[in-house]
Amino acid sequence: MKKFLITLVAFALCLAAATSSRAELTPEIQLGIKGVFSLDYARQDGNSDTTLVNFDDTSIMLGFREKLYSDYRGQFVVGMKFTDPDSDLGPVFYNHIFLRIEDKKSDLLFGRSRASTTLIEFPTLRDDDTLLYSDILNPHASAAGFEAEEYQYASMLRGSYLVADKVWLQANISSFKEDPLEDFGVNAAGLTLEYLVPESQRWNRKVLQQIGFGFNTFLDVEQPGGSSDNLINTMASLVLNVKPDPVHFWDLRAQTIYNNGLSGIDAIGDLKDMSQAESVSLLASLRYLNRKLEWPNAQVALTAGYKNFPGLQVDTNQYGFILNGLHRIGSGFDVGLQLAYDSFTGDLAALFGKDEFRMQAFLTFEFDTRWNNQFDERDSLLNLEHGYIP
Amino acid sequence: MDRREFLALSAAVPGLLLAPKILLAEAAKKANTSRFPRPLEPAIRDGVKEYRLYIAIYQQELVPDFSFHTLAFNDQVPGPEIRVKEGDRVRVYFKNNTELNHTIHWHGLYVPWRMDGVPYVTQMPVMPGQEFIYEFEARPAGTHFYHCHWGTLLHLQAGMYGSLIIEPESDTVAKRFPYDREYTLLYSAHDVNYVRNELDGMLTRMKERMYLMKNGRFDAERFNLFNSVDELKKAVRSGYRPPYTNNMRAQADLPDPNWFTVNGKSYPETPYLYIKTGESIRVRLINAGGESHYLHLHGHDFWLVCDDGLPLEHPRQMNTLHLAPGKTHDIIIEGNNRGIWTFHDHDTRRVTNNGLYPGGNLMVLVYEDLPMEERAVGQMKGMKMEGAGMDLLPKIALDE
Ligand SMILES: [Cu+2]
Repeated sequence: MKKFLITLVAFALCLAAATSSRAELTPEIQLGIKGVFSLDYARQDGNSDTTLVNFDDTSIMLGFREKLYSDYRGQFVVGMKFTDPDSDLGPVFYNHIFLRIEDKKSDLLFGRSRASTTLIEFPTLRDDDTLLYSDILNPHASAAGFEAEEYQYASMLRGSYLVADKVWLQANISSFKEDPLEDFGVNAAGLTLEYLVPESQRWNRKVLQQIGFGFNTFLDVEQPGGSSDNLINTMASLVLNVKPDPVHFWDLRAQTIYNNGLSGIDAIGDLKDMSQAESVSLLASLRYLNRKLEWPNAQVALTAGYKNFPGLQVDTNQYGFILNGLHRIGSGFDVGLQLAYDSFTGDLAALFGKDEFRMQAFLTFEFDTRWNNQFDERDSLLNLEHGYIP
Repeated sequence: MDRREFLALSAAVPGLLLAPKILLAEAAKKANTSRFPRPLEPAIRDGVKEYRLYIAIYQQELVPDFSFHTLAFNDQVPGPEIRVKEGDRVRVYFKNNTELNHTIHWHGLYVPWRMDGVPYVTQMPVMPGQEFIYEFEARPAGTHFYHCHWGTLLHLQAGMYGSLIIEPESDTVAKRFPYDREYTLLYSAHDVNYVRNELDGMLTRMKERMYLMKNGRFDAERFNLFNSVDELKKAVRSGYRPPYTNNMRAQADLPDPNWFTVNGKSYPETPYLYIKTGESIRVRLINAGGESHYLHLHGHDFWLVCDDGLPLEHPRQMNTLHLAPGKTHDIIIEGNNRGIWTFHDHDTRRVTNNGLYPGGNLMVLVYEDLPMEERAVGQMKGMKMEGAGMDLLPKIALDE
């Protein structure tokens, strides 16, 4: 809580400075907030459990950006996320702290942000609802408790370059949290290539929205025997407009990850083993979005995942479904219900239990705004279709 | 040097370009001709003067290194000048090359009412790709302008305006004040952030609407069209949000102009008014923007000769003129006090570029016959000017 209070004081100071009449340039100030609140009921291997208030994924993000002397733009972002009540990470986790420099065709990020261990997002209530299927798993994370943030966020130097229209090549060297935390050096590197239609141009698009390929290698991963090796994962993704209709919008997305695994892993006893064992995962979502007078009104999505571990002595796999629906009750305010089912066999059954059913009734609020607005987004229609203005 | 000092250095004051030796250079005079609206040449068919105007998204550079996306007639801000004789029959083919709706309103003209360009009142909007033909007789004589009347708050300040001059059979102004040259000045004020955000928002919404239109699914509710107040009320109860509610719009705030232009340019790119001793010049002032301007000329009293294009029976002398939004005024400046004189909005908030002074609609009246010995700016005792990099001294005089 203390960390949070200090942050709030810092925010207040930043805002006060922005309104003073110093001769310095005042940057554009961006604020994004997301409140995710749910009432959870879970049933695992016959035992049920209720959480009255789960506010995981609730976050605040502040950005400051300005034009540099050249045609580049510079940005500083700090974001914090309020974690699970039982998280080992404390009540607040700083998920974004970075500086970024970008222009029309390139983008350089230096700091902590979302790791490049997934290519696309899935329509689930929380970002980590499908983590075991949607993300390359970090073998450097703690073996004991499962903290999604250790998988989702990393410190990095990441460069992206627009190699052709809508085609981004991205490379990163990253530092994931170590367990125990003994080294802040580079322990992962990755490369992705992605064709991505900007959000603003989705109505021009008949079918293809996104197609991506990526690979990531975790460096010097300690093996059970004591030696270390590199752990390589490859991934591919696809997002299609099934029906790009402004009222009844349907899309389909899928991502697959292949984990080469480290040799000698033939059983899963903990989370570390799970990230180091050879595996293939597949995750797909079909989404229906109803829009009313140019605004989202309701959404229903079905997501299904499957993951298999072929190199283990015991036949081990997992599958899961998530079905959710939400209705917008006010600008940025959604109410909804999410049902999830997961099944584990083999070694995973010992780790996570045989199966789990979760039901979550939720209320969410999202809001984004900017002050001292000075320039356009790179992907605005004006910049994309009528000439880019730095 | 500590970090603080280093940061303080970045707040440099922009240099100024109003030194006589720069203003009176031939290059400056030549460049100045492009700072006035370009005349549009008509084709004459069956005695009718035919003009072609198109609208497209364009980037207008207000000052070096600062551009914004605009809506421009014939790739010009302001649009080209239409100049006709009183009583001429005029036909304007207006082609919409944008993904937005537009119309043209002929401000101050006695056109047939269905040529007046008010969407849903006198005509349907000219939709993306469509062409509309305006036809009217040029009346009354005087300084007028044309502008878009769709989403006027945005489209007007986004650049959709141009001068329309109707020359009278016999010019009473020229009779009383024989003038040697004339200039057209169109004033505007732009909130470039508002223009950018709203244009982006409208383009986004129009892409979706065009999709529905092509599929024949664009209904009355999406058109924001209702046949009765009851129909509107019913739509509101079932989730329709009228444009006047915040969340329908890309942004809720009203525009707060931060750039002020004359003929689409801000100082130091604003036009110069050249004059010679003994000459008179006629200046046609048009306020195509949404702000009031209080135009003050140094060193002279000018004659106000026309109001909204109509010649005044009793022209009056003044040195500060209130140019309200939508107004046109013609003034005569008599060249009787040689020098270099500023002509600017005396609401000096409009003599800024994005909040920094000087800028905006600051202009100068320049006597071409200024003798060499007067071309050096007032020297200060004990200060060596020549070769000391102080040629740009007038900035002190401008710092009111
Ligand atoms: Cu228009």
